[in-house]
Formats: sequence, structure tokens, C-alpha cells
Amino acid sequence: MANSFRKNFAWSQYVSVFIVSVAMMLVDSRTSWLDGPRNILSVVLSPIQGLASVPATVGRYFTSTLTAEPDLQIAYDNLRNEYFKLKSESLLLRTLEEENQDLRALLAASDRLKEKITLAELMDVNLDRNNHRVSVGRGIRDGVYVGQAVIDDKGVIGQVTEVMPLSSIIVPITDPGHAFPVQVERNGLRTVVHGTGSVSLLRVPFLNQNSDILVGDVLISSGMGGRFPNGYPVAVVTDVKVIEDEAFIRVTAEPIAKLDRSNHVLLLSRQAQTQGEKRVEQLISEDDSHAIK
Amino acid sequence: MPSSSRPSSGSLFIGVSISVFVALVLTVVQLPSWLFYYWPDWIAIVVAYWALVAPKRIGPYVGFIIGTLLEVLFVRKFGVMGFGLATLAFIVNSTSQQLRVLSIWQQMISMGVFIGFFKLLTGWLSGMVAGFTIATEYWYSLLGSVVIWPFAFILLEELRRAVRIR
Repeated sequence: MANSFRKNFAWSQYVSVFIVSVAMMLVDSRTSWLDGPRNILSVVLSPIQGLASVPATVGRYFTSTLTAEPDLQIAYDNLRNEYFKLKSESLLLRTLEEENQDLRALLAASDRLKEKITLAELMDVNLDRNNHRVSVGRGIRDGVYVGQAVIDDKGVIGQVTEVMPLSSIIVPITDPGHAFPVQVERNGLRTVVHGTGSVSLLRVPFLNQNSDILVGDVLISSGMGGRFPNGYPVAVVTDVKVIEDEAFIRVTAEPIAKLDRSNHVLLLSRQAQTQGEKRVEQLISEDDSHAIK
Repeated sequence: MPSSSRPSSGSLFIGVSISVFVALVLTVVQLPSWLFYYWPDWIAIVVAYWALVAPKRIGPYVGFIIGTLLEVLFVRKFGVMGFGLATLAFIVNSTSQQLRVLSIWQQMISMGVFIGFFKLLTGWLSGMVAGFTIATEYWYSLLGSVVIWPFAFILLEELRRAVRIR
């Protein structure tokens, strides 16, 4: 008697869960009504997320403090060499930039937008293996917005899709649900790259049999769609396979950015800057560099 | 069953919270690539364990709550994990009396079947909701889950004992 009552109770529990789940799935996949509750919950649950990443943080701390001195010396030398190389390159860059501006003025073209850069530290990577997400420690408080472009020192990482008060979520270009507008650096051929779920493999679909694309071509962001500034390196073509009887050729590429290795990323925000803003920003960045020391 | 042999609801809550938290940590931990795909579905193992040892308390509702928590933390579409874990809890609940008398090997196989069904269900539903496609690698973690089950079971039994004494 009691047993059958219990069984009925379990069934009623299960059926009510079924109804609620189906309703949630329908609502969440068709509308954005549940985004508000999700954000509130994510703030409430952020201590759990912080605690959950403690072991990884501690591990990282130990590997970084227990590095042998020769290794550190080598790393230091490398950084030093790279610093001087970049320094000399940036000298050249400044004159080039001025020249470019003058040329643009001659052509009466609009100024290239300046991007404001925010440095952000990664909090979590690979939250889920079928659903690539990276979370960084910058949020609404730091002026992060949805659709913001994310790069590292090598190339494009992805874009911000969710902003919470203290952190935000980035979808990297390798996520299976992410496509990214690019063009071939060599000839300007425009196309898109799709993520596949693997960190080192991107797919370039919808290219005709006679498209001019070769192994080793660099794909740069094309700026189509208005989300991403153009000209940042995205991927290198690793394989071009032409199969007869197929409308499109099969092209695969490998991302240039160190998606699984970088600890810091840069968030780009698009805004035209006036001279005064530039000065202010320079002061701020000087301030920051003191703070880092 | 006399009520004295059951854990009080307070200590049960503590036990479930601790084990879910540990499962969460294990889920987000950074892995070498050879282990990446074989890493067990810790949350499913923990939910199955509690549904097995406390079928009267830990059922579809608790599974649903844990699943919804996961969906918030992992930024997934709502409803899929909640329903999947509720289904897993429900199946284990209704077979718990049979499962408990099985040997560890037979338990491993039935857990493999249940967690496999859970993965099939959630994979299929997220395919409908979020455009996810089930790749071959998706199933590798099932192997890891089955292999880890006896060890996880023993550790969780220890945890349950510790919590009940307190």
C-alpha cells in the first residue's frame, strides 16, 4: 500500500519535472525571457564558481612559483629580446600610421576607427567540452558589452556573448556554433570560418571549386557584420581538398591565437577617439602600468 | 524501514551539496588532451549514487534542481540537463531495490546503461534546442564513467558515513 503510494508520488514528481523542463526548453530556445533570471542566478552562484576554480588556481600558483631558475632566465631573455624587437617595430609603426592618415585624408576617406583595449584575465576555460566557453574577470563594471571582440597577442579569440556584473563569457571561434566572417589576406577573398569543437580545427565552408585559396594562406577578419574590426589574423589554412561531384571544396584551417594557452586576453571596443580622449587614456594607461609594477 | 537508520534531512543535504560541489570542481578541472574525452560525467555519477542510496529523498526534483544549477554555471539552454538528471534519478529510484543487491560488476553495467541513456537524452535534446550534434567522442566519457563508478561509489559511501555520524 505504502509502496504503491510512493511509486505514484515518484511518477507525479517526474511528470511535473517533465512539464516544467519542456516549457523551459521551449521558452529558452525561442525567446530571451529567461536571460534575466539566469543573470541573477549566475551572480548568486558566482561564489560556487569561484570556489570551484580554486584548485586550478592553486595548481597554477605552484607551477609558477616552483619554476626552476634557468627556465625563468630563459623566459626572461626571450621576453627581453621580444620587447626590444617590438619596440623598434612600433617606432616604425608610428610613422606608418601618420603616413596612412595623411593618405586617407588625401583620398577623403574616413579615419580608421581607433580601438580601445582592455586587458582581462581568464577565469575559466573549457567549461564544457561540447560547448566552448571562456570566462574572463571583466564585466559590466568595466564597460564590457555583448558583441565585443576578443583577441590575444597572436590573433582573434572570439567575442563576448554574455556580460555579468563582475565577469563575462566569451565564445571562442572554435565553438561548434560559432561562425566568423574572414577574408584571405593574399587576395581579399571573403568567406566565413566555422568552429568544429576542436581547439585546433576550423572549417571554411561554401567555397567554390575555382576559389583561389591555398594551404598556408592567412585568413584575417573582414569586418563584415560590423561586430569585429577588420585586419586581425584569425587562422591559417591547413588543408584544401577538392572532391569532384561536390559543389564546394573542403577547406580546414587552424586558429592563430593560442586559444588553449593564453592567460590574458584583450577586449577591443570600437570607438572613435578625439585628441583629448587619447591624452586621458594615455594618462590612465601610464597609471595602470605603475599599478602593475 | 525504521527511521533511525536513515540520515536526517540536514545531513543528507550537506552530503549531497559536498558531493555535487566536488563533482563540479572535477568537471571544470583542466585536463591533458589524452584524458579529455574519457573524463567521466561526475555530476551524473553523483546524482545516480544519491538516487540509489536515498531513493525516498533524492528523486526527480533534486535531479532537476542540480541540472538547472549546472545550466546556469555552464551557460547552457535551460531545461535539458535538468530533465536529463531528473530522468536519471527517476530510473535509478525505481530500480534501486534491484540495483542494491547486484554485485559491483553488474552494477557497473547497469550504471553504464543508465548514464548512456542520460547522455543520449541530453545530447538529443540539446541538438533540438541548441543545435548540438553528437560526435563519436561524445560517447567516450561513458567508458570513463563506468570505470570510475566502483571507486566513486566507495568514496561516496565513506562521505555518507562521515556525514551521518556528525
